[in-house]
Amino acid sequence: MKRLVKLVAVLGLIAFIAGLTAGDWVTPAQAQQAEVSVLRVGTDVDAGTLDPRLEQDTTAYRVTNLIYDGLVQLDAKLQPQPDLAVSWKNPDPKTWIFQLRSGVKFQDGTPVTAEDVVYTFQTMLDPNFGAPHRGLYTPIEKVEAIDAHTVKFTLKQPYAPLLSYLDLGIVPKHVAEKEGQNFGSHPIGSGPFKLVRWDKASKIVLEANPDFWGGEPQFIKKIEVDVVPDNTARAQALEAGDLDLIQSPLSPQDVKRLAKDKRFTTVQMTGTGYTYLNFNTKDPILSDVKVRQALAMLVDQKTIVDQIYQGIDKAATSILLPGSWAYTDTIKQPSYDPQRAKALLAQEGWKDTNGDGILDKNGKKLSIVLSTHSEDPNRIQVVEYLQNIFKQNGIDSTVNISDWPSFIANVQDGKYQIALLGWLNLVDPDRAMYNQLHTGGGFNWGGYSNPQVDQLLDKGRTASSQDERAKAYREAAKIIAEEVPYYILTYQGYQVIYTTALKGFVPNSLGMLRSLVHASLGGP
Amino acid sequence: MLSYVIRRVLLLIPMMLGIVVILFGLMRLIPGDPAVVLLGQDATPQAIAQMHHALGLDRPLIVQLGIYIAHLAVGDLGRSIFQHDPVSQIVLVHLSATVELTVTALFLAIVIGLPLGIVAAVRQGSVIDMANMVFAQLGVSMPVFWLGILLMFWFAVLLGWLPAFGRGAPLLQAIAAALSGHPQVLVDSLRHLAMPAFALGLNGAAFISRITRSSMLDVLHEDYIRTALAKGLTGWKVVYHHTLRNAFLPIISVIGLQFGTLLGGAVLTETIFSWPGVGRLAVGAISQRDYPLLQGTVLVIALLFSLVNLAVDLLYALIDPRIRFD
Repeated sequence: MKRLVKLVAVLGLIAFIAGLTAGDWVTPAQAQQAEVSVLRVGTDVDAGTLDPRLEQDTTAYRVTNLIYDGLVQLDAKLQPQPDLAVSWKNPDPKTWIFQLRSGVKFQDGTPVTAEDVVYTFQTMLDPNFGAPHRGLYTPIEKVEAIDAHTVKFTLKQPYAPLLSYLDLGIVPKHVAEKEGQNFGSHPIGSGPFKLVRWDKASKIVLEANPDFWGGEPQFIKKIEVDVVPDNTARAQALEAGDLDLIQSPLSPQDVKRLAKDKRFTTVQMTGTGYTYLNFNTKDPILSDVKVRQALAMLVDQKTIVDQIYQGIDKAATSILLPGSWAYTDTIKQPSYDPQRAKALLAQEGWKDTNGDGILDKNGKKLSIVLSTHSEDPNRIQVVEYLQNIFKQNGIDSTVNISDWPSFIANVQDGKYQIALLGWLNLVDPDRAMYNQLHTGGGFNWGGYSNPQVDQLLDKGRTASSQDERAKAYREAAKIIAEEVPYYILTYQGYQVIYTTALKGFVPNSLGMLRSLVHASLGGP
Repeated sequence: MLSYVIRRVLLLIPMMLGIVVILFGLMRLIPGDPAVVLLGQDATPQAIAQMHHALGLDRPLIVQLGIYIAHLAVGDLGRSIFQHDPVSQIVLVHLSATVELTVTALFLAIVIGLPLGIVAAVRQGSVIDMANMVFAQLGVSMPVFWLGILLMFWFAVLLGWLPAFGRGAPLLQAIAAALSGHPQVLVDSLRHLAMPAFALGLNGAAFISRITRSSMLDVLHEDYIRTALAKGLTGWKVVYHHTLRNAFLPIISVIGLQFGTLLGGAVLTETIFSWPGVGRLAVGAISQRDYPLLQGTVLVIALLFSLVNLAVDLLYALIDPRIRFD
């Protein structure tokens, strides 16, 4: 038994050495004192960085939106509203002039000036800086400070969606320059909350900013963002009272259970993303538009939405999102009809000539590989279900599932036939279509090309009135629904579930939490 | 003995080097790289090329490897591509969480598993033995993600006794705080630790009890046990001094192996209970193709694993005087 004690002692010593390296603690008593004004938010991943220029994950988006101000904020309808910019002018299609709010201070006490805005966008545009979303801003030719509170953007060509992307957090030049790579861990903005503590992979703690230009948040003094990676564990933590608010991604069964619970408010709305099948139009089989239409007729959208997504995501009708100003319900994609699909394939010469149960043409089998990534169990179920339907209808189909980096690398290289994936944060129709479906577009991996669509997308990007833009996008969406380079499967849902004690919180389909500034955690 | 230890420690150097080279090669064989993940879907081919250049991924592989090893030689593990912090700093923070969880889980596993195994062996075929077998079967076969969710449902949601997720103050600091008059810090820390440690330790307890039982049974049938009993020694004296001591080597091996497995393999427990450990860190690094972070994490785990193995080998000599190292 003495030996055992020694063993435990050895192990204990290792633990001791490791334990010395960890940070300081907050006593539970301290935590309890402030509980009334602390809001605990559950999230699925830790933020990679809190530098808004480098951010990439939803947690970073949501947290930096509280720490920083943008020139604009997107409201619940995704329309740009004044934030750091109080007003803006568009004297000609290629020039935008922004008037900044005066008297705004960064959380280190220095004033926010036009120079900080210029610096933020200049670094964003610098290819060596490595900003993931640089592409959204490349139509900008230059950004200049006219005076301390006026900024001028000059564009290479008219770019109507620009305003929707100007919610990018403005960083203080003097701090970001000095901190360099460390800035993302020690963020300083001018928003309503400031970072006080960040335990990586565990929690991010924010505190009300007393100098916020809109007034210090009155009731919620502290926001604790807790990383709980497992969807069900996160839902249980809310039920256990260890969290106050959780948001998508959530498991459908948890949403259904919690929606019935009187202790919580459940809000479900259409999000800003869609899940779709990407058809590689350069593939010898799929380059035939009739074949694409026939395959689209084999997509049993209703069963997929009802059974796999359990109604949390909604059946899509076109590439335009229901929440968008460009939306119309008059566009229809090919509907589920195996009989017509078979007839259409036969018409294109795909028949079972050798009686092996698989369609063929000129001695070649109709073989289709369906790909998706392994991180999303729903997507795996969808491709497996589609494989089943395809097989029943004489198509030799296989499924290819790999982890996200492998999957997306193959798709970007055009090494796929049909891929199931999604687009997120589509705050403007341009973001959902231009690079994806314009000839030679940066994300047009399937090589789709239709001069008429190109023209309409160009028009949508450059037209100055929203009506004109909407018209162009609707026409383009109609052609896309007919020619099926994309088959839009679902509109992704957004859910937020929070304690009924939280009053005054206005959910927003991007998952932003800005409205917490005026919210309170009253009694139940 | 000392020269043996020095030899073993020196052997670690080529081993670590081998791990670096293999890992480096494997990571680059699988499709997808950090630039692709970092830039997401919104990446144009030009942007990916620029990012490759910025990250130094456009240089020949052998040059990249050379640079990495050169930095490693001076103790620089590089910076994480996604978290932007130095890898050594990230790994250390996560490692302390993992070691704390692992040691506690292992402690629970030993405290539960060892006595169960001993009693089961001594009372072979009894109800206790049967119950132990059932426990061992359940413990080994119950998936930890299911057990975790179940524990959480009972103790956090229904009873509200324990926090559903996360880590309290680091245990050793919590102990220090308790000694300086803040016992609630330690209580909080232990409450956070209880469920994940139990979930993780149960499997080990089952394993240890089975090995203890079979190893004890082997020894119990030796002639010298019969002799000891014939000499008139009492039953428990025989169990402790004659049987357990001789049955201990396989048990120690299993405990050492368990420790190693738990170190890197607690990913599911860490995910369910949001424990910020190295398992999750490594899996995250793979799925992001964060080369420096993954390389650093695996190196540190491998190093620790090797040191534990060395410690186990040295323990053999302590327990069994017949074993000598030279």
